[in-house]
Amino acid sequence: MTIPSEPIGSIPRPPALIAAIAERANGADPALDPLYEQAVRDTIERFEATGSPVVTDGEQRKYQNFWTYPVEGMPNTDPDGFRIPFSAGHTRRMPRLTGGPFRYARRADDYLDVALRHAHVPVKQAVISPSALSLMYPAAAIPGYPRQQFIDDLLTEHETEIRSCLRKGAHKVQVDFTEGRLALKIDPSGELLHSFIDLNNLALSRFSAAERARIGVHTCPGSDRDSTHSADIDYAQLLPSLFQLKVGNFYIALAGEADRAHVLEMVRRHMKQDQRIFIGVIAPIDPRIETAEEVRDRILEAAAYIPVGQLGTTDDCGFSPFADDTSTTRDTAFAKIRARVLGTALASKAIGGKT
Amino acid sequence: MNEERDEHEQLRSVTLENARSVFLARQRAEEELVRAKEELSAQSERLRVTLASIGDAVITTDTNGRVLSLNRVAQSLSGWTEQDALGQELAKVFRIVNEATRQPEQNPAEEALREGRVVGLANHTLLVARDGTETPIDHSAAPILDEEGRVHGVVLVFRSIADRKRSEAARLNSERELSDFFENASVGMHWVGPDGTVLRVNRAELNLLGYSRDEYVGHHIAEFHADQDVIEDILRRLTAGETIQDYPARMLGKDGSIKHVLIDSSVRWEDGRFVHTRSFTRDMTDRRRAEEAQARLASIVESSQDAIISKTLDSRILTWNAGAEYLFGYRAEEVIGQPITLIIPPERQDEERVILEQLRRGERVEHFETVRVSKSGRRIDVSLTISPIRDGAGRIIGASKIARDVTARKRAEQRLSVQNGVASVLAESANLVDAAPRILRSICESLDWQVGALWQVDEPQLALRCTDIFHVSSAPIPRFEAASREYAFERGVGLPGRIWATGVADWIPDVAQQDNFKRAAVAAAEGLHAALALPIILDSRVLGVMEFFTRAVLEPDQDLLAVMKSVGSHVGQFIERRRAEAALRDSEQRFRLMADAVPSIIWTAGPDGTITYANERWSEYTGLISDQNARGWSELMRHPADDERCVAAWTAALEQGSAYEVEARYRRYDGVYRWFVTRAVPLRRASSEIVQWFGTTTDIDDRKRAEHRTRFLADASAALTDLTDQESTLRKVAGLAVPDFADWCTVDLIEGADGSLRRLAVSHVDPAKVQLVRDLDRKYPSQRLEPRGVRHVVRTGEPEWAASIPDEMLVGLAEGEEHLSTLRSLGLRSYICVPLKSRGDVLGAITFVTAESGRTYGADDVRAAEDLSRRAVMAIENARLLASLREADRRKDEFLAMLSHELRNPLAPIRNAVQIFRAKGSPVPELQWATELIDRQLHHMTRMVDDLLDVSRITQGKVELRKETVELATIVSSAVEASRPLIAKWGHDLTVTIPPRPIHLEVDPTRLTQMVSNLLNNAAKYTGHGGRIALTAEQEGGEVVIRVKDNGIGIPPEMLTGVFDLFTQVDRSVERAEGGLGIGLTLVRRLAEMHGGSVAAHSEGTGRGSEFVLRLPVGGAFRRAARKGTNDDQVQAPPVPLRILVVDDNLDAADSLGMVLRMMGHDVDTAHDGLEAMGAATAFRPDVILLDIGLPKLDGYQVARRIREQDGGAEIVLVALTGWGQEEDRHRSNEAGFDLHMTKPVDFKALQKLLVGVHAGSERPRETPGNAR
Repeated sequence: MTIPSEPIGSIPRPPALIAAIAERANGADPALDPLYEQAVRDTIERFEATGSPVVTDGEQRKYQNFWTYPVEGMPNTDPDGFRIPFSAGHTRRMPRLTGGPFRYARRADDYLDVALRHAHVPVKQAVISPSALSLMYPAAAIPGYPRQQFIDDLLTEHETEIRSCLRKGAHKVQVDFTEGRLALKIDPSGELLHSFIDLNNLALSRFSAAERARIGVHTCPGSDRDSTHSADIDYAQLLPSLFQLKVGNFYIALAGEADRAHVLEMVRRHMKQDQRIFIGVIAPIDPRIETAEEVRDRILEAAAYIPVGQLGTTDDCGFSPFADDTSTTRDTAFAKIRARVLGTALASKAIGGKT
Repeated sequence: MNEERDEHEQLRSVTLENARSVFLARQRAEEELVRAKEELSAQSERLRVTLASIGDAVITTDTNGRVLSLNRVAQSLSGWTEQDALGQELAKVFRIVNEATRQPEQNPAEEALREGRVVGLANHTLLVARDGTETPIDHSAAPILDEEGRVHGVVLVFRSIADRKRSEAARLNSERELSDFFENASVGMHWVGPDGTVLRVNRAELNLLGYSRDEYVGHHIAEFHADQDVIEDILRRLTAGETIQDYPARMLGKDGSIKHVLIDSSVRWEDGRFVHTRSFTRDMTDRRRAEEAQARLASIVESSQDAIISKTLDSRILTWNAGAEYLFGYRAEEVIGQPITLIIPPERQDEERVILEQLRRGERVEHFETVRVSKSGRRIDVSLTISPIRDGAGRIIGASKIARDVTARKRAEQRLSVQNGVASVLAESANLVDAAPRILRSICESLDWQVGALWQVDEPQLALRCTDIFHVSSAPIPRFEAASREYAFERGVGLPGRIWATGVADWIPDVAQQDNFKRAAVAAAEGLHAALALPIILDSRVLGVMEFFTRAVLEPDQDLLAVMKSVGSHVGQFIERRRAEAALRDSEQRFRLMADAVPSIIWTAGPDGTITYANERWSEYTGLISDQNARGWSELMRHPADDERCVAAWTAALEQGSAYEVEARYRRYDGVYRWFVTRAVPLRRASSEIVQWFGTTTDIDDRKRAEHRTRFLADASAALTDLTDQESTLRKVAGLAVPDFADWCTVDLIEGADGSLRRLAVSHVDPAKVQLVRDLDRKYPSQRLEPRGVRHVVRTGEPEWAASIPDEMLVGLAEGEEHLSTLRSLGLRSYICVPLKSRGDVLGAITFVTAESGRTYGADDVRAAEDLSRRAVMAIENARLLASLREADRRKDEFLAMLSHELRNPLAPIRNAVQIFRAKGSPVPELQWATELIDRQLHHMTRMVDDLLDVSRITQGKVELRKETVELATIVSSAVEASRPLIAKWGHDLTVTIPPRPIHLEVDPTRLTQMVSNLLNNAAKYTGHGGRIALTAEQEGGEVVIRVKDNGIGIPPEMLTGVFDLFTQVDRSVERAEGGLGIGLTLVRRLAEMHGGSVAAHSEGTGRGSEFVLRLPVGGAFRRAARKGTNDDQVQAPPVPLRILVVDDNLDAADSLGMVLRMMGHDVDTAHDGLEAMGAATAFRPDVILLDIGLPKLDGYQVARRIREQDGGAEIVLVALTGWGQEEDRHRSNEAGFDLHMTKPVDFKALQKLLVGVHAGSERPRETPGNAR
C-alpha cells in the first residue's frame, strides 16, 4: 500500500532573488526573469532530489505572496486593503479594488508552464481561493461596478485559472483556503466561514466530478515568519464546514497542532467516502527537522482514524508563503520535505509492506 | 488591539456584503439549473415524439439491459407492444440471428453497455419477431452517458433492410450476367471513364497485354498505348460522339512488347452524360509480325558477313549474297548458274557428293569445318552449315549453304595449343632434360610441323650444341638429325648461332633456298623447307635455341613468331626456376646442418605461428622425434604455469608482427623442467608481408635458478626483520623457500635434553602433500641414528648436500615397504640440510628438497642455504631479545601500577586528616600553615602518582580518549587555572595570547588541559624566580599550535631529542624540589600523538630559555559540546544527614574518613573486613557504603554482590573507594554492582557532590564526578 504524499507549495526564495526583488519596485520586471528561471530550475531539481513523488515550482514567481499574486500590479487597486495580523506581531495587507472590471493580472497556469519544462515528476499547482480575493471589494459599493458583477467576474476568473491548470497537465490544483480558520477567529458565529464556503462551492460547482477529483483545498492557521494568524482556533469549529467543500482532496495542517488525536477524531467524523485527506506531517514553522521515524509515527497515528485508502501526507503549510520570509532556509525546507518522503515510505511499508 | 478589532469588523462587514452577492449568484445558478431541467424535460418530450415518428426502430434500456422504451417501428418489427416489452430483458424483445450461420448474434446493446462505446452497424443480421417471422436488419447501439461519462443505459437503433436486400439481389444478378459475357468474350474489351481511366477490362485483353487486373484498372488508358497521339485522337473522337471502328493502334504489353490491335469503341451516354466507353480490342500482332519477319530475313541475308549461298540439288548456284562475294572474290553474276564445285579444292571434291546425299535424306549439316578456295586461289578455312530447301509440298528442291571464314580462329587455336602444351610440359617436368623432348613434340604436334630441335649453350666451349631432336614418325630425318648433332655453332653462326647472338626469333620460308643454312642440303634431301627458330631467353640472356621445320614452304607468320617468342621466355624462366630451386635445396641443407650445430633450439614457424621446423636440439631435449607433435610442441612441453603468459605474448606478436621474447619452463625428456628464453622475429617480403618466423629457444636455467635463489634470500631476509617469535620466524622461512628455492622445505627443532626433534614446519605448494608428510611423521616417528639426514646434521652440526637422492638412501630411511613406496612416490631428487646454530649450539635444522621441479642443488645452493640458516638464527636471537625486553617492560608497567596503588593507600588517611584539621580550624597560625603545607604536598604527591599511573596506562594502550568539540580558549583557561598556583609560587609573569575568534577542537578536554598544564608547570619549574612565561595559541592551516615559551634554564642541545623520554630531567639539582619524576613531558607527547598531533622542544641552549610547541588538528565538527552534569561551582554542601558505612582494612584510612563524614553531619559506621562489612550493612542499614576492594575475608567485589542480593540491597549506593584506578578495575567494580568507582585519596568535593545527590533522591549516580574517572 503506497500512501500518496504531496507538498503544499512554497519554498523559500534564494537570497539573491529576494534581494533583487527588493531592489525593484515591480517584482514582475522582465529583468528578473533569468533569476526567476534559475530559482525555479534549482527548486525543482532539489525538490526531485528529495524523492518527493509530486513537486511544485516552490512558488518562486509569486513574488509577493500566495494570496495576492493574481492581482499584483492591477491598475484598479489601492494597497490599503485589509490587514492580516500574525501572532509574531506583524501584519500583511491586501490590496483594495477601486473599480471594475475585475480581471486577473496573471494566472497560476503561467507558472505551471515553466515548472513543467523543468520537472521530471508530476507537478502540483496552488491557486488562491475566490473567498480570499473576495475581500478585495470594499465594504462600500464601487460606483459603476456592482458587487454582484464583481462576484460573477471573480468566479469566472477563478474557474478559468483552474481549468487552464488542469488542461496543461497539473497533477493537482490546490485551492489555498487559509482564511477558513481566520474567518472563525473574526466571526465565531461561523457566518463568515459559511459565506466563504458558499462562495467557493459556487465556483467548484462549475467542475465535473472527474475534475473535482483533481482539485483540493488546503487549510492551515497561516504561516509567516514562523508564526500563524489563527492557530488558536479549534479545528472542531472548522472541519464540519470544510468538508462541505466540493473537492476530492483536503490538505490539512496537523503536525503543528497541540492535540492531534482530537483533530483526527474530527476528521474521521466529518470526512466523506470520496474525499482523500492529506494530513500535515511536517511543521514548517518549527525550526527543528523532523526525523523520518517521527513522520512515520504521525502517519501511523492518523491511520487509526482515517482509512488508509483515503490517507495522504503533506506539509502543514508552504515553507514561505510570503516571498520575503527568510525565517526558514531552503536547506531546512528540503530536509523537512525529505523527512516527509522517507517517513511516508516507512509508514507505507509498516502498513502494507510496500513503499 | 482596537485597531485589530476594527479591522476584523470591517472584514466581517465586507464578507457579509459579499455573502449577499454570493447568495444571489447561487440563487441565479439554481434558477439556471431549474431552467436547464425544464429544458431537458422538454427536450425529452421532443425526443420521444421524434422517436415515435422516425422510420427507424428505437429501443432504449437501463443499465441492466431492461427495456425502457420501444418506438412504433420497433414494435412493428419486433412484434412486441410497448406495454409488453417494458421491463423485459432486451435479448427477449430484440432477438437476432446471423443470416448465414443462423446462430444467435451478439446483442450490440450489451456490448455498448459493457464497453461504454458505440457499437457499429451490422448488416448480416436477421431480427426474429415475436411471432417467428424474420426480417433482415442493420442496427447500432450507443451508450447513454451523463456529463461525467457514466453509463445510464443504451439506445438501440435498427431498421428493416428487406427491400434493399431484394433490389441489391436483382442488381447483382444483372451485373453477374454482364460480367460473364464481358469476362468470357474472346476479343479484348475494356471500359474507360470520361477522364480516360480504365474502369473495367476483360480477361482476353489482360491476356493479350500481360497485365493483372489491378495493374490495368484504375490507370489511364494512355499508359497502355505506344502512340500517345493515337489514343488522344480516339478519346477525342469518342468524346465528340463518334463511333470508332477498326482503328489501328499499337498497345504496350507488360513485357515491353508492342501489340498491334484494331479498336472498335463507342460511348455509353446517360442523360447526355459520358458514362464510359465500350471498347473492343482485336489482336493483329501475328499478322504484322509475319510481314515484318519476311522483310527482316531478306535484309539479314543481304547484310550478313557470312557467305549465304543457295543451290539446286544438282549443285548449281541459285543465290549468292554480298558475304559470299567478299569471302570468295566472285561477284553474283559470275557464279549464279555455275556449279558449286567452283570453290571446292580438288582434294575435297568428294565432300560435295557426301553433302548432297545427306541433303537428299533431309538431313542438315551442322558446323562442318573444311577448306574452300577463293577466286584468287587462297585457301580458306571455313565452317559450313547446310540445310535442305523444300517446296510447298515439302519436297526437297535444293539447299542453302552458310559459309563462315574460321581461318583466324584456327590459327589462334593452334597458338593457344602451343602455349598450353608447353606450359603443361613445364609444369610436370623436374628439369630441362625431362622437359626438352616433350616440349619439342608438343610444339610440332600443335603446329603440324615435322621436326623440332633444342640447342643449349655449352659454356666451356662457348658454342651451341643440339641436345634434343624430335621428328614425327611419318617424317624420318636421319641425315638431318645426324648433321644437327654433329655441328657446334658459335655465336652468330648458322641459324642457331644467329638466334643466340640476336636473341630474336627468325623464320625462313624455305631453308633449301637459304645460302647460309649449313644443313640446307640434308634438309632439302629429307623434304624440310620452312624453318622457325626461337631463343630460350631469361632477362635478355639466351640460354638456348629451339628450331622447328616443316615440309611446306611457308611465309613468315608474325603472330606465330610472337607466340614462339613467349614460349622461349617461359622455357627460360623454367630453367632458371629449376636452377634456383636446386640452389635453395643446397642452401636449406646447409642451414639445417648449421642449425643442428647450434646449442639453442632453432625453429621456424609459418605466418600463422604454426611450427614448420625445429632443429636437432629440440629432439635431444624433449626426446621426441623431430616431426613428432611438431605443430604444438611448445604447448606440449611448456610448464602449465607459464602457458597463459606465453600464449598471450605469442598471440600479440602474431597480431602485431612484432618481435617476441618470453621466458618459460620446458620439460626435458626425463620430466625435468628447465628455464628457457625464447626469442622470435618475423621475416618479411619486400611488401612487408610476413613470410615466416625465425626463433631461438635458449637454456637459461642456471641464470634463473640464481635469480630465484637471490630473490629467495632477499625475501627471506626482509621477512626475518619482523621480529616475531622463533617459531613464527622459522615457519615463515619454510614458506618462502617454496617454490622458488625448493619444492619441499622442512624445519626441525631440538626439544628436550635428549636431543629429540620436533618437526616445526613442512612447506609445499600442495597442501595435500604437506598433510601427507605430516601423516608420515606421525606414523613413522623414528628417532634412529641415521648416517644421513636431519638427525645426522643436528648431531654433527655440519650441513649435508645430495645432488641426487639415490634410492638406497630412501631404502635406508624407510620403516617398511609401505613407507618406502610413499617416499618413492614423492619423486625426491636433490636435497640440502643445514643446521641452525646459535653461539655454537645446534637448535635444529632446515631441509630443502627438490622433486617435481627436477632441479639439482649445486654448491651455490648450499652456500645460500647456509647463509639463510645464519640469518634465521640471527633473527631468532633478535626475537628472543625483543621478547625479553617486552617482558621487562610489562613487569615495569605492573610495578608502576602496583606502586601507584600502594602510594595511594597511605595518602588517603593523610588527606582525611588534613580535612579534619581544616574543618575543626585552628587559631594557631603555625598549625594552619602546617595544614596548608601538608595539603599542598599531598596534592603534589597525588598528582605524581596519577601521572605515574597515566604513563603506565598510556604505554599499555589502556587510555581511551573521550573526545568532544571544545573551544580552545576554554582549555587554555582551565590549564592556566590549574598551573597558576605553581606559577604564582615562583613569581613568574605569565602572558596568554589566543585568537579572538573561537577555534574548535575535537579532543578529550581533560587530557588537553592536562597537556597544556604540564607544559606550563614544566616552564614554571625550570625558570628562575620572577621569570617570564608566554603561552600563545593560533591556528595554522588545519592545525592549532600552542606555544609555551620561557626564559628559564633552557635545554642543552644533546638533550633536546630525549627531553620527552620517561624519567628524563634536564636539571636534577636539589633546588628543584618541584622537579617530580620526569614524566610530565612524556605524558604530553603520548597524549598529543593519541590526538593525531605532536609536540616539539626548542632551545638555543643552557640558560637561554625553552619553547615547547604543541600541534593538534582542528576539529571538523563545530557543535558545542553538550554540557554534562552540573556545574561544580554550583555544588553546595548542605548539611544532609545520611547513613554511611566506611569499609577499609587500613584502620587509619577508615577512621579518618569516618571522622570527616561525621564532621559533615552524617551518621557513620566503619568496618575493616568483608564479613564485618556484611554485618554492618545489615545492622546499620546505610544509605551509602564507601567500600575498599582489597579486604580480608571477603573482597570488595564479593561484598558488593552479596549486598545487592540482600533485601533492600539494591537501594544502597555502593561506592568503590580503592587505590586501583585502571579501566579494567572500573569495569570489574561495575560488574560487581558498584554504582561508582573512586580512587584514593578521595576528592572531598566530588564525594560531597555525590552525597548531596543521594540525599536529594536524584538518580543513582552513574556519571563519574571528580576523581571518579
